[in-house]
This record gives sequence, C-alpha cells and structure tokens, in this order.
Amino acid sequence: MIRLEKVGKTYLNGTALTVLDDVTLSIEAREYVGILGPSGSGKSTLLHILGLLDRPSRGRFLYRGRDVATMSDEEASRTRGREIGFIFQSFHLIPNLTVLENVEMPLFYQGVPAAERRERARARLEQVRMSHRLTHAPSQLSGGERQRTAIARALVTKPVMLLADEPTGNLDSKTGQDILDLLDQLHAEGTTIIMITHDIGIARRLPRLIRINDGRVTEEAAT
Amino acid sequence: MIAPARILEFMTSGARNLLRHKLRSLLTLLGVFFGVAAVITMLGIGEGAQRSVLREISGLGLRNIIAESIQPTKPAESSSSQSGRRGLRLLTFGLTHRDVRQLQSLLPQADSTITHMIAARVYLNSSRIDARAMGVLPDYFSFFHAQVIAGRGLTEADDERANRVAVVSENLAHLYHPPGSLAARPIRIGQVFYEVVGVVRQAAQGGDSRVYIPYRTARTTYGTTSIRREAGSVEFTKSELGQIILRLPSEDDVPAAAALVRRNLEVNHPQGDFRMTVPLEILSAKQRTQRILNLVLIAIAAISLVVGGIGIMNIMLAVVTERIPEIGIRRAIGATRQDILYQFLAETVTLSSIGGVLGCLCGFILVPLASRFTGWEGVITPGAVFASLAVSWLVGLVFGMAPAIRASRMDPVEALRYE
Repeated sequence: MIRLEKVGKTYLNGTALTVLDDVTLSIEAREYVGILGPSGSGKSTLLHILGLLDRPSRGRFLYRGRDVATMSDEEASRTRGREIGFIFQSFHLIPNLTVLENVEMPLFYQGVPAAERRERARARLEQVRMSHRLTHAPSQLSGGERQRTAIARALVTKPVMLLADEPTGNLDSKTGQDILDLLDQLHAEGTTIIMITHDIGIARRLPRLIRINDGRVTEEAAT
Repeated sequence: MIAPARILEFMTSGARNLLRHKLRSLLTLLGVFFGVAAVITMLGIGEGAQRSVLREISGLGLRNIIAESIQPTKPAESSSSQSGRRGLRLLTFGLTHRDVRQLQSLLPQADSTITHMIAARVYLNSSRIDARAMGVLPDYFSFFHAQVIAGRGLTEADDERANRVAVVSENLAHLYHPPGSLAARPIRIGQVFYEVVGVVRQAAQGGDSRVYIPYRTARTTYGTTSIRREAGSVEFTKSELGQIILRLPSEDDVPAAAALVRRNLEVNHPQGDFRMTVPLEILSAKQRTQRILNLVLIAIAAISLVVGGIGIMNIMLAVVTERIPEIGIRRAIGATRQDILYQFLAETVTLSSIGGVLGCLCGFILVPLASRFTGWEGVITPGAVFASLAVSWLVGLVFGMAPAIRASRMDPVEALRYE
C-alpha cells in the first residue's frame, strides 16, 4: 500500500538539515506497524510524509500505487481527508468546537451533508464510548476522553490507514492502555495502523517494528 | 466553484467564531459600520438633492425651449428710433410674430405658445403686491404642467372676448380667505380691474408670484409699448412679444431643436435682445454639478470604509496567527488550501456584512435626521441600500483576502508544530 524508495528529507532553514536519509520501506494494507525512535530521530517527519502532509526532498513515495510527487496539493489534501486518519500526541482538537463538531469536521471537508455528518459522528463517538460528552468543549474533557474524541475524528471518514503520533504520550498508563486496546481492536477490524512511539514497551507488542535513528531506518523482525 | 450551501456553512461557522469574541468582533466591525452609515447618508442626501433639482427644473417643462424678449443693454441703432426731442426715445426690441412663424416652420413638430409681458404694476385692495402680470394663451398652463387648484383656468372664450379675468399663482392664494372668495376681491393691473377666477400650482417658478390674464386682453389693454420715466427722460419701449415657448414631442429632440432656434434667433436678432432658456440644458448642467458633489461626498465617506477595512484586515491577520494550530489541524483532516481560504474569507465577509447591515439601519435614522436639521431633502433608494450592502461585502472580501491567503498558504506541518 505504501512504498518509500530512497526517500530523504532535508530542511533548508539557513543551514541544510537532513532529517530523513535514504529511507526505503514498504507497508501493506492491514498491517500494524510501530515506528520507534528517540526524539529528533525523524520519526514525526516520516509520519508527516506518510500522511501526505509533507513531501520528500528526494526519492520516490508511492501511495497506493501513485507517485505522491505527481499529486497536487489539493489532491493530496482530499486523499488525506478521505483515506488517512491522524491521531496526535497532543490530541489537536479544535478548542472552540464541541466534541461532536470536532468529529464532524473531516466530513465537512468532504462535502457530506450536515445531517449525515451528525449521524456518522455520533456513531463513531459511540464506538469510542464518548456518547455522554457530545456537546462538551475539549477543555472540559480528561486526557483519555480527548484522545478518544480524536480517534473518533480519525475514524469518522472510514480511513484505510491510521497514523498515530505517540497517541499515549500525554496519558497516564491506564488511560494509555485503554487507547492501545482501542487501536488493537481497530486493527483487528481491518484498519492499517502506523504508530510512532518512543516507548519500547509499547513498540514490542506490535507485529512489526521499524527503528529510526538519525534519519535512517532499520527493520526489526516481528516478535 | 463552491456551492451556495457550503458558502452558508462557512458563513455560519464564521459567525460562530465571531460570536465567541463579541467585543473584539463589535469593535472590528465599527469601522465598516460608520463607513456604510456615512455612504448611505451621503447617497441619501445626494439623491434628495438630485430630486429637488429635477423637480425644480422639470416644472419648466423638460421638452420646452423658452425664448424671451429682453431689453438689450446697449441699444443698437437699427432697433431704436430717436425722436427729435431730447430725452425722449422709442426703443423697439425683442421677439416678434415673424420669429414665431419662422420657428414654427423650422420646427413643424413643435407646439408653440406666446406670452405678453405687462409692465404695469399689480394691486390688490389698493395696495401693491409683488407680482408680475402676463398675458397668456389658454394652452400656456399645459406647457408648464400647471394645475388649476381652485376655480378655473383661462379659456378660449376668455381670450376671444378679451375677458377681464385673471388666474393667480399659488403663492398669491393666501391673500384669499376663504378660497371661495376669489371673485369678491378683484385684482388691479395698472388701471384695470380683473376678476380672479382661479389659482394655479406650478412646480417651478422660483417662488415668483404671477398673475395671468388672457393674451388678447393683455394685448388690447396694455399694447406693446410701455413708458418709463426716468430722471427727466422718458423712455418708450416697444416689444411685440414677451416669450415664445416651443414644446418638442420628446426630450431627445430638444438639444438639436435648441441649437436650431438659437441660430435662427441670433441671425434675426444680432443685437441680442432675446434670451433663451432650455430647461433640459439647465437640468443637465445642474445634474452634472450635483453628481460631482455627490462623488466628492461619497469619496469622503468611502475613506472611512477603507479605514474600516484596514481595521478588519489588521484584526484578521492577528486572528490567523492566533489560529495557526487550528489551521494545521484542519489541513491534517482534509481541508484544502481553498477550504482554509474560504473559511477566513467567510469570517471577514460575515463581519463586514453585519457592519454593513447595521450601518444601513443607522442610515435610515441619520438621513431623516440630517434632512430635518439641514432642510435638505433626503431619500434612501433601494439602489443605495443595495450599493452600500454590496460595498460592505466587498470591503470584507478585499481586506479579508490578505489574511485568508496567508492562512491558506501556511505549511500544515509547521502549523501543527506551532505552539
């Protein structure tokens, strides 16, 4: 489903900073992959490239068989909205929208009519056990509740791939476990999940693990 | 293109964002509010002025061409015959029946009427009143859209029999109380009494008081010669006609006809003893000045709109910075650059449109207030309302563009990282 060939990313902010170098990897549909690395290793940049938020400086990135370099910004945005769900460490909910509105938002950009948006958002929120907080503002929620809302938002478009950037990083271990169980369940239901983490304990549970260090990846055999 | 339903959604979500910062939004839209209020007030007063100019001049009949006899300032020898006695002169000047015939053959499509000016003074109850008397044909009133508001007008029979009857202009009617008492108080012109049979309302006479008597009566009673005694000399002046009034079938014919009449009269009256009044020309000249004045007023009002727009732009630039993380999130969940652009534009346009609507409402209070205190007429036309609303909308669009473009160009990764 995803194929990176000798992908590199260099930022040119005064001095050239190479964040990713010569990354070659492929990820198939329905995989559950962990990307493990210390902070500053380039794992977030890799996730941004995989999620079509950023583009490689070098190399070739094939997303579902299409060369991303040939996609326009609009195409990339639409594809991102339809097929990719993001889950962030700091949740990234829009503070002045309610839980329900936050979850509806991706559907809005797909042009889904309001009534259907509401319906689908409610269903997803129910799935993550958030039905009791529909009209709350994100600031009124606990960390776990915020992340469950963010997951509902990522799932509401029925994405083919979930990209999770340290989804448990800001949560206590019990709530974190809750979120991980939810992700396991989504994987079991057929969603491709790529999760970034620096927690070796979490990484070890995953069927496939990619280590990243100073912008270079090494594959680690599944345990 | 974007569907109207989506625009509405962008606008409602924009409005909700604005409601979250009520004070800030209110202060931001004040600029547009004042700008639009100023523009609509200026438009209202300008329109009122236009209308009063139009009414004033159209009372003279926009299809009319009026030629009038005047005494030349420097009498040409040909038109005056000096009598043998020192200090006694006969001065002949002005328009003649020959002119009437010529003009009628030049402009067969035009109706015409003539008047006879009476130099004699006008009295009521042996006290002089400040009014001008003239002899007119029965059709005279129709040339000036004059309405008979009491009694009757002058008739063919009055003219044929040279009846001693008079019709007075509306501003003399107050002398008659009750209005039914017209006949009881005859008016005197020179030495002759006239029964007042009616009152006419004329849209425009510049407030002049007039007494109209039948043409034939005027001609037989006062003749064409008048005498003026001045410092030991006696001046006889002879003028055949007071005015020639031509009415063209349509306003479009007026400019060409006026040129023709002017040329003809200039040839026949090289001494310049006539004056031409073309109401349509006066109107267009006045309207031109009025339009320039309006433009200046509106330009001044527009400056406040620009200032308002800059205020909006300033705030929206700050809002964009404040919402960088939100922009990143929206991009991550599928918003295109265009979506972000529309989102911020919708917010600015909503803001400026609210300012516009409030400004418009304020104009509805200001315009009557202004006309009450200044005595100017003020009219708010649907066009003015539409224009000022459109302008407020445009201000939002123009001044919202820069912040919206800045938001839409933001790199999603950097926006997400922004703290």
